[in-house]
Amino acid sequence: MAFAPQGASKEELKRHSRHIANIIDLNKCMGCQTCTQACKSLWTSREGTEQMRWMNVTTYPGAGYPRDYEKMGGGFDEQGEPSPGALPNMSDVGDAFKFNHGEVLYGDEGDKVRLKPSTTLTGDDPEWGYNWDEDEGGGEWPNGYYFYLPRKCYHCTDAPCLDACTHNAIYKRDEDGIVVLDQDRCHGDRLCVEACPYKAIYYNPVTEKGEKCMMCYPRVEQGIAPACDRQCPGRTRLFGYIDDEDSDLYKMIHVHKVAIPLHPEFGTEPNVFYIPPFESTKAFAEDGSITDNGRLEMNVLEELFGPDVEGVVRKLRGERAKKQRGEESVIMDLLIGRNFWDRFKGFDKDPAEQVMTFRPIVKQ
Amino acid sequence: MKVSRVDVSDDELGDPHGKVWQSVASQNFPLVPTPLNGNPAIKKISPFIEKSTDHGTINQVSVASAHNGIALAVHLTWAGEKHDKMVDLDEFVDGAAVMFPLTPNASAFLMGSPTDPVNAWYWKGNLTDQGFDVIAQGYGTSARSRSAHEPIRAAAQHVAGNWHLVMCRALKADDGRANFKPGAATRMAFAVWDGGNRERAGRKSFSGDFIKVDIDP
Repeated sequence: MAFAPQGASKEELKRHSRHIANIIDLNKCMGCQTCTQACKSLWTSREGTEQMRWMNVTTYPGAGYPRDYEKMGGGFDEQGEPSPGALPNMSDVGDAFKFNHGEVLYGDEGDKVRLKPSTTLTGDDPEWGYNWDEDEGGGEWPNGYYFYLPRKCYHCTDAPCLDACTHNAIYKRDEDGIVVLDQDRCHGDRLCVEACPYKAIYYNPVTEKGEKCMMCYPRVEQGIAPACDRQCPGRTRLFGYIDDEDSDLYKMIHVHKVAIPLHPEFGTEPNVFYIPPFESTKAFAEDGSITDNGRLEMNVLEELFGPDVEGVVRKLRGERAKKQRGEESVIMDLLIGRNFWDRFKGFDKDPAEQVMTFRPIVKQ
Repeated sequence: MKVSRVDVSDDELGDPHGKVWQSVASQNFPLVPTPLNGNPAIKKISPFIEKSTDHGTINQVSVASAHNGIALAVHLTWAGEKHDKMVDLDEFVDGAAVMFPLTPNASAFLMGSPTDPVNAWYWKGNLTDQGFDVIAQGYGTSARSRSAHEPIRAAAQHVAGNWHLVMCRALKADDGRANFKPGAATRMAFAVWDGGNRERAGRKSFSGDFIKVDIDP
């Protein structure tokens, strides 16, 4: 058990027998936020968690979530040295706006007063919020472009949050490597938030403790994929043991090497992998004619996925070309992801039959 | 330093501006930043907090202590801005702690050890009338006591740029927490957190090793 005494070493807390992983295919994500909502309704509808989106989807290029998390620091530097970063504030994490529903709907003022959001902390008009820059993207007219980037905790093999906590409140589960945060040990110091370069740990101002995605481990323990993965209508997700050689997930990561981590330079060995977007809308030439070039620039992808992404994109385009010529492509067949029992190998049980027994109690 | 015997109620003892504190002598103790950066023991419990270099802004605390035969109170005064609310998610509150050894060999520098633990009374600025009893057996092991006994009573006021804090609890504790015997001696160490400087956990100012304190009969 990687749950160890408070004086235990970090190595002991990181120890795990097996590890789960995710793949998210960015070519298929349509930004519908069903994953976000699945997570939110299951885990973060409690007091103090309203502003949290353990699962989130934002538009890239863009500020991301929490806002500008990539500029906040955290993780390990090139020498492998810990590099504490900044803390996001309520606005950065998207807030949970209040609305004047009462005034508009029941105050007999509906014809004069417009429905408007206000911030939790000040009551002012919001200047930022969750997905505020949705679909803005990058590029210049008429060749604008964007794609959606779903993110959650990466359950890193070398988790900096775990390293940072002075009270050993964070550890990896032995049976699946899921990174969990023990609420009894947490003192709310937020050293973990500073350390996480993905800013995937959130502060609950009511309990004064940290909270994070725990990969729906109560579902995982019963052979059910995490809610965000299972609810995705775009079939973008794969979930399973990273060492399960028979799984599509294993093949994409280890055999075909087309699933790669986000920001590998953070040095944390994340366990959520991405199929990078390998095509984008064709660009217009100056004379208005349509070219064969995509609008998405490789440097945008390299900023997110590092230098390996170029080879992956080239490989995926080649595989697609094979299919277009009527040839076989194992990789393209895998990417279609027809069946959820293949995408979630070993975690394909029906949540509807079992999920109710561990729904959290929501405070009224 | 000593714990003065006074003949007042628990309520007056627990009031930072109670009259009794005018007659109890106070003593100034210099505070220094905790040695985090370059400290191998700290690196082991958090290589991230080991990088801290800008903590420890409060450099002095004035301490007075008294008992009324039933309860012991420690009165702390230090200069600093008031941070008593965590309005936003990136904000921290001020705090203070008094630490007592639970064995003769316990070290304040190391915050105790498994064989020689320490007991601390901890107050943070957004708590109105109570502090926490903490037991620690070394760096990173401080845990709030789950004892069913009375909590640490705390009262704090911020006046003219100074925090005035009193923490108070019964002299006797039979559950592994510090015990105080009139006529005997105890030892104390002090720590202060400046919330405005994002101080929490090991990021704080402290008074160094334990200071001997005689308890009036």
